[in-house]
Amino acid sequence: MVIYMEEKDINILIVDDEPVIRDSLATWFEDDGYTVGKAESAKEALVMMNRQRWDIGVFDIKMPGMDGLELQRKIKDIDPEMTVIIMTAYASVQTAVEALKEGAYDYILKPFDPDQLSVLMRNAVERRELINANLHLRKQITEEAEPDDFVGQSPEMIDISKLISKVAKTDSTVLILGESGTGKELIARSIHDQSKRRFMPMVTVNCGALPEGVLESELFGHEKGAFTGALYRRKGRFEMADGGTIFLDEIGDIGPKTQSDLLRVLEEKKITRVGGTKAIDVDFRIISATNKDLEESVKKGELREDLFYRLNIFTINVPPLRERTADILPLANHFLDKFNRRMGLHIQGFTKAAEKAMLSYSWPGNIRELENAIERSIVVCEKSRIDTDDFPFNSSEKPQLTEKVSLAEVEYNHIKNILINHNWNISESARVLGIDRVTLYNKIKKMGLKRPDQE
Amino acid sequence: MKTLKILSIGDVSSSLVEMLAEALSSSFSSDIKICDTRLEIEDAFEPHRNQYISTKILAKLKDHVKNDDEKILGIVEYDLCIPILTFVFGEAIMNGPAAVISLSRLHQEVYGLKKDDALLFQRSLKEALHELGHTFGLTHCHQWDCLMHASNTVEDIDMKGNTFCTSCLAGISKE
Repeated sequence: MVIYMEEKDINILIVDDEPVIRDSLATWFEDDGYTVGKAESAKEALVMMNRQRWDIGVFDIKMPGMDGLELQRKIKDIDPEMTVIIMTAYASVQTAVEALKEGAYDYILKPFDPDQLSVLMRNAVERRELINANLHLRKQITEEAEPDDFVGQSPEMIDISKLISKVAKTDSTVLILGESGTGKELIARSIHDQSKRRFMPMVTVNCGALPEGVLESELFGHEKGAFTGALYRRKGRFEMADGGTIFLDEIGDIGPKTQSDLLRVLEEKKITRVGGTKAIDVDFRIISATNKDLEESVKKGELREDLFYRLNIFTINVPPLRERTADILPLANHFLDKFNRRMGLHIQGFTKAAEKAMLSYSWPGNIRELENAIERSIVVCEKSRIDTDDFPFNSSEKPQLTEKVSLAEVEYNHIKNILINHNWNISESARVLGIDRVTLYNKIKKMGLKRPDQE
Repeated sequence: MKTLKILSIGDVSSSLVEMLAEALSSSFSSDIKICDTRLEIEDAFEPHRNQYISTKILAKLKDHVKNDDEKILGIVEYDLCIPILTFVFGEAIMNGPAAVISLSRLHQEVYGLKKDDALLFQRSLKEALHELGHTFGLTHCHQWDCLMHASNTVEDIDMKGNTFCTSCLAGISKE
C-alpha cells in the first residue's frame, strides 16, 4: 500500500547561501505545487527542522560555516527518514561519492537541466511516499501485534512470569486463581503463546455464563437431533481446541452433570457429542480459572473432589491489584499509551495528585477497572496530563470500615438491601447473593426479615 | 483580468505576436493590448551563460502593470534561464501580474529541422497560456494533455493539448 501524497503535502527545504539560487529553485518547486521552505545557512535549516518536519532537503554542498555534508550528518539525528539531495556548482567525483556514502539520496550539478530535476524530484517524492507507507504499516503492525496487557514489575508478577515460562514448556493442567479482573485470561494466553501448542487455537469458554445444558453442548458439541433446535451436527469447544489449549473460565460455577462429564474427558482425552455414541479423540491442554475458593467449594460439596485434584495440578495465584501497588503506575502508563495510540491522542501522563490517587485507591475491579478508568479519563481529559478530576473513581472513598459492626449485622443489611432492590424476588436475589433459594429462605426466616407489605 | 498587455522584447516577428494576441483574446475574455514600449533588459544578461535571467525580466515587466485588473506577457527571442536551471521556456510570477516566454527553443531549426511557422505558433501559444496560467495561481497539472502540464522539452509541449483541463479552467474562472 502506498500512501499517495498531493504535492502540497510534500515539504521541501532548500538550503543555499545564495539568495538567487534559493529563490529560483523555490519558484520552480512552487510551480509544481510543493510547499517550500528556504534557509540561508545550515544553522537556520536546523532551527527550521526543529520547528517542523520536512520531507525532502535540497542542500548546497558549499556554504560558509557548516557545509551541506555536515548538515546532512546532523540531520540524521533529527529526521533519519528525510530524503536529502546535495547540489553543487563544481563537479567532483570525490564529493559526490562522499555525499552518497553519507546517505544522500542523490547528487545534482548546478545549474540543473529541467528534465533532470523533474525526474529527480519525482523519484524523491516516490521514495518519500514509500517511506511514509512503510512507517504507516509499521505503526499499524505495532498496534495489531500490541503486546498484551500482561505488565507487571512487582515481585509477585515477576514470580508469576517465571512460573508461566516454566509451565508453558510442559503440557500440565494449570489452575489460575484470582479475583475478577486480575487478568487470568491473559495469563492463560501467555502460557498458550509460549507453549508448543501456540500455532494451534486457544479456545475460551466462560463456564459461568452458560446454563448447564447449554454448557454441555458448548463443550462437547452435539449430534443432529440431539435436542429440540439441534438442526445440525455441531463441534464442541474441546474439538475446536484439538491440538491447542482450552481455557475454562469460571470453572467453579459448573454444575454436577458437567463436572462428571468433564472429569471423564480429562481422564480419557476423549469426548462424546451430546446425542452421540462415538467417542472422539481430542488432544488438548486444559487451563482453568476461577475467582472462587475451590477448596471451600469441595468442602461444601459444590465441586467434585476428584475433579478439583485433576484441575489443581499446577496452580498460579494472581494477587489483586491492591496487594501489588508497584504495578499500578506501570499498568496505568501502559494503558495510557495504548489508548493514546488507539484514539490518536497525545496525553502526556498523570499529575502527581492523579498518581497518588491511583496508588491509594483499592481497585476492587482490579486491572479491568484500572483499564476502564484510564480509557474514561483520556476521553474526558482536557489538559496535557490526566488529573484526579478525570477519574471515574474517588480515591477518598475508602472502603467503609466496619470495625464496630458485626458480621451478622453486615450480612443482615446486605441481604435486606438486595431483597429490596429486587422487589423481594427470591430467585433473583439468591442469584445475586450467590446462594440457592432454600439457603436464602432459611436466612430470611432466621433473621426475621419481612416483606414491607407483611411488616 | 480585464486587460492583457503583450510586450515583445527584442526582435520578435510582429505577425506572430498579432496571431498570438488574437488567439489569447479568444482564450481569455479580456482586452488585448500590444504595447510598443521598448524594454531594456541588458542587466538580465548572463554573459558566461549567453542567456537572459527570466526572473529579472519579470521584475521589469511588472512595473508596466498599472492595476490589479491588468496582466502583462513578455515575448522574447532570447534564450532564457534561471540561476538553478540550464534553461526555461518561460517564467511567471505565481498569482502575479507578469509572465515571460522565450521563442528561442521553440523553433524547429534549433533542432536541425525544417522551419515550421504553424508549429512555432502552436508552441508559443501553449507556452503563453501555460505561463499566464501561473499568474492565475495554477500550479503544474498531472493531466498529460492539460496546458498546465509541466514541459521540459519541445516534445512535451507538442504532446499536450491546447486547452486547460476542467479543474485548471475552474481555477482561472475563479479570478
